Amino acid sequence: MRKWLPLVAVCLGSFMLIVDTTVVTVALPEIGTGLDASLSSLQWVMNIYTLVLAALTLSAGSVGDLLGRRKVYLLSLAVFAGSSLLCAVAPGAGVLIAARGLQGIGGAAMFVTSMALLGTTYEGKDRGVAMGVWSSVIGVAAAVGPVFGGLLTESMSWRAIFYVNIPICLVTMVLTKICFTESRQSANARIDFPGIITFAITSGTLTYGLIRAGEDGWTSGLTLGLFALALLGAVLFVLAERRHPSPMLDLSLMRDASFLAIMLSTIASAWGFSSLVFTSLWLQSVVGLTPIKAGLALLPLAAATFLASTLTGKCLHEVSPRVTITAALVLVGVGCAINGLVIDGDSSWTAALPGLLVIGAGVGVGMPATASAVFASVPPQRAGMGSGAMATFRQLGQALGVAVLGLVFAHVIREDLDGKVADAASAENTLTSGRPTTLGVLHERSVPTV
Amino acid sequence: MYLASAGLALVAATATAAFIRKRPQAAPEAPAAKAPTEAR
Repeated sequence: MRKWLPLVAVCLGSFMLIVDTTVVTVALPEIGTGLDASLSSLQWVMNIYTLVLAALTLSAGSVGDLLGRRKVYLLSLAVFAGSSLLCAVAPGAGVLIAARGLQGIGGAAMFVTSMALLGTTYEGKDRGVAMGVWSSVIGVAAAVGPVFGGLLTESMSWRAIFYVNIPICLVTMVLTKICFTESRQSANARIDFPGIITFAITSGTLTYGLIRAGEDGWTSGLTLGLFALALLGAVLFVLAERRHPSPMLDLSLMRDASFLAIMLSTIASAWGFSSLVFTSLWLQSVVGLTPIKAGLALLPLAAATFLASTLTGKCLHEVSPRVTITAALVLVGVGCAINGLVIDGDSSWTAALPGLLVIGAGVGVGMPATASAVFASVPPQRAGMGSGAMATFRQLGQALGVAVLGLVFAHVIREDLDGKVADAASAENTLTSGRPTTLGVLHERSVPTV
Repeated sequence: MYLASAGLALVAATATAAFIRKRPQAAPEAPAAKAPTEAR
């Protein structure tokens, strides 16, 4: 059983990270009341975390390859524990926002190094099993986060959602010390600072542009300015990578059709998953469920993800990734189509169940299959880069999905309300973006959860 | 909204079926747990 201890250490850290990502969504109204925070401050409690994750995920994977994945994982756990304590004792919104930024730094490094640690620790059939279990834990964490957050906030205080991280971080650090040995890239490679800076600008401005597009519109000056900055950053990033002796992203991977197809599958799967943000919003705003009940209504999806990930992990070694990833995307597509055909303005929450189960199965098959395919496409000493690239594309898919589907969701709500209420436009605004809880759902779920 | 997501997923499924190698490029042997991989 000792061989599975590294998996326990990684799953514990990942579970905490993903729960913490979604838990804040539910606690947001309490935080607003407790700290007397404005709506824009509450938005920044979400945005800062999302932006830091977007800016640093790829870099963190590459730095992990260079400095040692075990060392970076331990450091990220320490940063996450410290920043969680700071969040818990925050006397005002400013400190909470700064602490959430620090949490994002720890979270980015933790997420990519945990995946890379699994990729370098296990091989063959064991790697498939490890990826399956890890993916199922992430799927469950994403689903139980809101329920867990609601229970903690209601029974204790919003501060409790941050306090619980500290003992979990400490236990994970001890386990990591015991069961991992260090692994890293060649000593000749050095940190690619120009790449880190230009990628942070590109990814950060692109993600913030997508957030603003969802709120201000795609043609607002700020949105277009952010997209222009992202484009400039991307050009500078490519130039920096071509000149650096040990670039943080191996650009030759971008000429590999197979690797690009794996990344496209990551974007499409994350996009499909982002539609759940609006399912949650529909459950709360239209069906009238509380955030906790909406979280409970989404639990069947988590159960399907858990089962599918565990089963897929066991047979990954024998089946081609072409088959598993294609099957996963077909399931996600069919699940979304079922929801599209079944759900309408008068549906009850049970109408979403069949679609949720099929989407959950698709996500469950796809996550371990994609992770395994990425690790098989890059040399083991660049496992951090591979997991960083995958996490970055997944985040891009979710941010893009939330921004684009947000427009469609608002349009559908408005059409549905037209003629039924006096002012359909303002009613639509209330249902889609007018409340902190709603904003929370929209933004917080845009981080790379599943 | 759901139908747009379904369309994208099915397009991506077609791309993965066409482009992902049957077996990804063979990578060098990965180290097992507790087996140091220090390259230094």
